[in-house]
Amino acid sequence: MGTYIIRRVLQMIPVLLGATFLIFAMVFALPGDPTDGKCGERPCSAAYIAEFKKEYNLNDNLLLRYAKYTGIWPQDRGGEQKFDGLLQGNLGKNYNGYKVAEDLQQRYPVTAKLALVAIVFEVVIGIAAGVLTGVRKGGFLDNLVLVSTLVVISIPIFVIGALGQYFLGVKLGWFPVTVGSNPTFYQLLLPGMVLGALSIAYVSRLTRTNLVENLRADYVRTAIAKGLTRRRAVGLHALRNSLIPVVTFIGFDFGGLLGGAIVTERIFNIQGVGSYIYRGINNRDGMAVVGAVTVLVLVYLIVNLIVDLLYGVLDPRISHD
Amino acid sequence: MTTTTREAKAHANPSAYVPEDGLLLDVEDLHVEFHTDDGIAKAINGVSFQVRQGETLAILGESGSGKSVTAQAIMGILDMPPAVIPEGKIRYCGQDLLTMDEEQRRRTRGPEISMIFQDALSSLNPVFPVGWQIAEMFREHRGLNKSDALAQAIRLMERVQIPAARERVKAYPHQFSGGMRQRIMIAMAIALDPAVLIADEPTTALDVTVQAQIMALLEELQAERQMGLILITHDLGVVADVADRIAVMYTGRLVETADILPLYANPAHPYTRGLLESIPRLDQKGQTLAAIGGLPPNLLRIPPGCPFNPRCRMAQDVCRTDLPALREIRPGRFSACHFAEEVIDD
Amino acid sequence: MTEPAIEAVSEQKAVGALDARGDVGEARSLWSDAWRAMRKNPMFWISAGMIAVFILMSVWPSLFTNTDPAYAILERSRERPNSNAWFGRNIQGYDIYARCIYGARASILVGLMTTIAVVLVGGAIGVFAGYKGGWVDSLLSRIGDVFFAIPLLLGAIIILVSLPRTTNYWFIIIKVVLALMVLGWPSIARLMRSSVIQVKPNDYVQAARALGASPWRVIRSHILPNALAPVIVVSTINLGGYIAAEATLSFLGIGLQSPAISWGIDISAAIVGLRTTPHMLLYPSLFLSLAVLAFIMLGDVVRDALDPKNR
Repeated sequence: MGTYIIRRVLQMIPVLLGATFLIFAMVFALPGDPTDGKCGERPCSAAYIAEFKKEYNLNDNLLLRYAKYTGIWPQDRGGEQKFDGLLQGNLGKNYNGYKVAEDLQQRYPVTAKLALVAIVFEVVIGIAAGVLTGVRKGGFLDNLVLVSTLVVISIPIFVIGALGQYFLGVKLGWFPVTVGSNPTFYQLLLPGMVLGALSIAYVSRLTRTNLVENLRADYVRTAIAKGLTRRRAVGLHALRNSLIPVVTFIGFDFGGLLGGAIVTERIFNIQGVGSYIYRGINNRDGMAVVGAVTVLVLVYLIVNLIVDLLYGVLDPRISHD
Repeated sequence: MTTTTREAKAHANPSAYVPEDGLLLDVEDLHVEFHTDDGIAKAINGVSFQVRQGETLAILGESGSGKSVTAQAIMGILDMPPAVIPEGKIRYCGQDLLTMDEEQRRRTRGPEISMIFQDALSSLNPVFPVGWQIAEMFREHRGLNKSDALAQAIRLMERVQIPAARERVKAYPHQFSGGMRQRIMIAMAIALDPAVLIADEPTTALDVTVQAQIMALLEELQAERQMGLILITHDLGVVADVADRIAVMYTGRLVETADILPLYANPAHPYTRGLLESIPRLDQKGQTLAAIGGLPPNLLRIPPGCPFNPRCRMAQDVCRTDLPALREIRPGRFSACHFAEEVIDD
Repeated sequence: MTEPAIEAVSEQKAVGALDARGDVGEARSLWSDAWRAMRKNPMFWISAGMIAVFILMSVWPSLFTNTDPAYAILERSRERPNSNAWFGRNIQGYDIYARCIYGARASILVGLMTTIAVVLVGGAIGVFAGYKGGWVDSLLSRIGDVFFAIPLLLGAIIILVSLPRTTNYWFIIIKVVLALMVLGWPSIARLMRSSVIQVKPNDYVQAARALGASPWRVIRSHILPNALAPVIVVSTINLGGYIAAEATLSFLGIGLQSPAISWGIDISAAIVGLRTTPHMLLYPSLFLSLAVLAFIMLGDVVRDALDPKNR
């Protein structure tokens, strides 16, 4: 178990480096001059531009810049050469001179909250719908849920978001239409449901498929032959097995939700990571984008590891020796 | 003596008591159909048999003969639909199981009638420890608390000779060998001291040496508890030492029933004779093994007349038109063949 | 039809599952069985019919409308649906029906081209990794992990923005395809790799290799037929996802841009007027959702048909 975790963490390092390098290379290939508009109406002075380029190592080639960014190569910090990068826990400053890490400290809790609301919807609505349809396969409710999941899956998230915002927010007034900079869970209910809509549909289908399959399993027949109530045979024996892949899916989905929040945050004007990255791209602020995405990838990898470990706990047949 | 043990159990299910003659299970004219997209498959077509206390009945047949469906119908674990039971009675201690309400029926599963399946690995739940799965019987039927139920589970695991039962009670099914898993299935099935035990191909998935051990264990438990045992198998060799009576099934009908020894000596149906001839025998070296040619008919299209006629070496015109009834040709010997007398004397 | 009871009936049918390690013969009967099951399924005909209509729309839009989608009648801006303009007019006074018809091209092109590119690139890498094994496999799998770790939409945005700017319709389409392909290939590569690894140790494959069959021949005649079924199912469902992704990118103002015609652009423009002129949002959304639905539904039908447990 211990060696398994160590091996997995070691495997994460090249993936993290690879992903950040990819993002780094792409972001710094963005056309446009980051100093544009930094000095009001006039073009910036040559001295300012030189200072700016030196500060962000823009004169170095890509590899050297990346090496400095990750902290495996020293860079000039106030006259002395220091290792100062990712490995030292420093995400650098964005082009406005603010520390990226501090920005993210404000932004990440908001998006994490949003993703958490989405996950709660996935678990509650998705699993409930999956169980209800799975036990009565072919019934009216089954067909209704099947059709509605198909509809939800096919309508793009930005349409669902706009419709939800209009009908539930504006017309019925059940939920706030937009969200402030430090939103409460209540304010995030509607955005969370929109963000999770697709996954709710997938969770309910996954639960249903697995439950239908497991209801035919020999051990469920054994449970009935043991004289257990149908409720216990289905609700405990079949469901316990059916939820293993569902839990895995939900775990993996958490990382995806963080990244997918970019559209939802834009619709509801939420000040989270998604809108931070979006703004960073539009402002050609490479440092902001790379920093935010690096954290995103790191979270994704860690969540994956946790899910894999959880899988071993849920399914005794899997061993992580 | 045995009657008293049954009566003591009557508290759990007041309606069930063992009659004077020890008749536990009385299956009468049972029919089972499967309604599929391709039509109605008649899996069982009028099967009748009885099981008494301490008796072992072997039901023998190829796959698709309806032997497992019979077991599942008695257990009440057929999926309905697609299965339908249009006709027949299954009486347990005089009471028809088929007319009971589901809750009453459920209470018979485990304490009264119990079942062992062929593949213990898939029949045990992979995500719960084996001890927990045995203890579940006591918790759900007897209302025992966790630790008492677990103590009972350990006792049962010891009874079915699982080494180091106390240590292995928390282990999961995949951590046991095939034979040990089947012992756990048996422990679970006998946990509540049932009157009838159905074993559906209990040794088919096991090695030959392990097969003998499991059969010996079943025989021992049956003698100890005076259970009625229904042994379902396709393998004549497995049942020879254990069974008292044999019922041979073909396309959902009984084609021959008899006590075990007379049947071995003189089969009264060509199908049974074919089965016997297909067993390799040590005392007759050098002979070709006679197997039954052809395949059993499709249950959606059972041929008219005797269902065995397309594969029967003795088939005459009458066999292609008239369905032979199961009739008593000698005391205690029943056969469904137009030429049963000729076969038995042959 | 699942009970052990009807063994005799279902015996012949049960041959050939998705996990069948069999050879071409079995794979063939798998497909003919699947075709037989699909033919009976109305969902198959509905989704296939819808896809056919959308493809026709994208190849030959003038078949469905005579109206020029780029002809604006500004004074009739925001007009409600009427006999002249069936779906009404949008803010610029364009005919919404014509724009829905002409908008199909971008979605279908992106969907089909991305899927083809992903299957070719991902498939080739997956087969190569699975067949070679060893360090080649490890390296390619890790590289796949790198791309997998970047969220699709986010990565696509960054790639699109970093590619040279252009206003040419075809270049933008190719940019979108490229962005989605770069992030989409690992899923097919993983699928292919596991199919290869599953089939490779089989005796008949080893025998073919021992007899000196070329790797290409072994792959073509033994590995591909088995791997094909899951790849087709996943690709069809993903195709719907790519169409949605194209629209989302256009919505964010990063994919196609006006004057190009795309459902995503029209939806994005219509959201502002949702309160007063919902028809402007409704029709392009409906077309987009139906296109996504058609491919997802087809993928579902094919998967169910290929899975003998569902028969």
